[in-house]
Amino acid sequence: MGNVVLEHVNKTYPGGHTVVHDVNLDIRDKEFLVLVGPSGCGKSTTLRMVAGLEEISGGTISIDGVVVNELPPKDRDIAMVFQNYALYPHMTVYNNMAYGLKMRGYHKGEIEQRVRDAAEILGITPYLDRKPKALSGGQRQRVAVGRAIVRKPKVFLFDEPLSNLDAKMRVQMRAEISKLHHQLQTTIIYVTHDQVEAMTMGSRIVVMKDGIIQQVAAPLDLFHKPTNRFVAGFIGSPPMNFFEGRIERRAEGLFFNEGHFAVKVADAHRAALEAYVDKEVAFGVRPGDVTAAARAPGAEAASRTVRAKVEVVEPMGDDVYVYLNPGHDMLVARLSDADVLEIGSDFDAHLNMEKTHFFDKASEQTIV
Amino acid sequence: MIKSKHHKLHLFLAYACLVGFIALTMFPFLMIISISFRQGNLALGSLIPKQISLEHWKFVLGLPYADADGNIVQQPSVVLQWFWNSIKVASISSIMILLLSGSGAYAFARLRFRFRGEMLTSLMILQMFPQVLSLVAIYAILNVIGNYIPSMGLNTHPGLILVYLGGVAIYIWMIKGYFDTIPASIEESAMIDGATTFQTFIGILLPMSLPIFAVVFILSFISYIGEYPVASVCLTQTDQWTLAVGANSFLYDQNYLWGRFAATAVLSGIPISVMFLVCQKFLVSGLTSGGVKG
Repeated sequence: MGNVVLEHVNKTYPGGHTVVHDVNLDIRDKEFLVLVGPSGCGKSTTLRMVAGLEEISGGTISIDGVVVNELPPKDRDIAMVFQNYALYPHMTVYNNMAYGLKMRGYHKGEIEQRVRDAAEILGITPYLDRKPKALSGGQRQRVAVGRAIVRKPKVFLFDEPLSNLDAKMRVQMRAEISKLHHQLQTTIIYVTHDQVEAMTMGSRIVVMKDGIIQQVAAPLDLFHKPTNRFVAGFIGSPPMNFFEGRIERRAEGLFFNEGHFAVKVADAHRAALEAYVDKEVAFGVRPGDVTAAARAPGAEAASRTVRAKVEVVEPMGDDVYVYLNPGHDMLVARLSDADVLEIGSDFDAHLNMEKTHFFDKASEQTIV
Repeated sequence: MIKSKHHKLHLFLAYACLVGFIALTMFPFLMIISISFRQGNLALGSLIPKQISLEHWKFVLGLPYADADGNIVQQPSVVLQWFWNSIKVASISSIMILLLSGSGAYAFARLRFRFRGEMLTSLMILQMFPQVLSLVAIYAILNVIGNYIPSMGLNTHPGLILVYLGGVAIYIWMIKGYFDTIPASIEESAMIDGATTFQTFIGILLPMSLPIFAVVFILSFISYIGEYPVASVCLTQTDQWTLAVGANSFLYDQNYLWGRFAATAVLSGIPISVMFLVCQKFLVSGLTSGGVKG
């Protein structure tokens, strides 16, 4: 079992600087929970508090119902993989992996068995006699993972384990860690600043900002139903486009008027936006929900179209990212077709209004 | 690499400078060796003695020799006794310096406690005053200690070692500087792996820090082998003297026994050289490489 519960956890450094505010989390057994957020959001500190490397200023952390606030890291039955690998440079790969078992007084045969099994799973058997110096970055991170899994702990903690790897290795290790989670069936708490890692690996994602949890949800819920503007902008790549403007009542219905363009609010959103008529709101649309106007069917098409100048075209292979300028703020569109767009030409962008988001301008909370 | 036209000239100048520098450092050393093999006690003379005499070395090593009147003299060598005293004091002091500064530096580098910064700074400031300035105080303190623990008072080696250990601050700073370059995550990893703070220090941090410990050991050893002012005040009996104090005793006001002085000085270089050769194999770089992302 590996059930981790954080209740009203706070972290304040001497001098009164608070980096983690009132964090409440119930991490279920066998769950792959990802903490994600920009640097300095308190995600690593939260993880280090679970590990016992940082003291807890307030609240309680319990693992399997036992409050661990005062327990040193070695008594918490957790294992951690660090961003910079943190291998023991003077030991061979074998001894690196065996160290934790030796410290816990396992028999030699048992240690040998476990290390060899883990090495087999991770494909590092040929390197067991080498020192970390003689390994590549990806191999070193595998050793670090191996050192964690030989102990068969209740909870794995990963602190940005892939940030030091090159892009290709990162994608490969991402899949391997996901696979490992299925194989081992152990709770994983994973910290990253990369929303792609969070989306692809996590069974639930915790988005943090300034030490405060913004939202806890499954990856697709986070993507489709962000609770506030920060989450909406943080999850998804390229990020969501935001515009600021007013809600207006016109004969045809409610409109969002940015100043340079106005689009008709979808029927499904009308009720929620009634209260915001003639008020300032923030409007968000994902690049994937922008298409070329000529292809959009329906009579209302015109009221959903934004005319903009093409400023930058980024071909990505299957997709083309097009940076459009409808007046002031940029509108990025992810177009799947191979339309050849002239830079500087006018482009009619059709917004999928059913999938757009509105946020309160002051509180930045989602309206709909 | 493409070399410029002046490459050969640059090379020549570089060699000339190096040879000049080596000559400058070697000359006094050769001079001392020369004096130790010269007949009589003359400081001046040619570098290669006209007549080689072993009288000073025989005296220093306690071998029978003929004195100025032609009498054969044999007496147990007091110099060898000093030599042994020096090695004993310097070795024990250096080992204890390692223990103290190593653990002290660990505390300053890794543990968080009140007044940590202030304590580090005050260590630094205290170290700026030469120990010689406090000679009188040291004398008085050792005198008092001797009243209670005679084996650690004036004119004892433990007393002298105690005074020498006061020079630990500079080494704490050196080792702390080295510890600061080793990422804490390696030790945190060991903590999670189940090691205690002490096990982490011994099993993880120490093996990575061998070079700095070797440097500290050599530096303190050299300084204590050659230390004169404190030893000369703390040690009053001839048989307790260290080499530095003893060698100085050959220079009477009316009679400078340069030959004996030189032989003694050369002798004191031997343990330093041996220690250096022993420690050299620990002076390797890259002990921490591979552990973390470089």
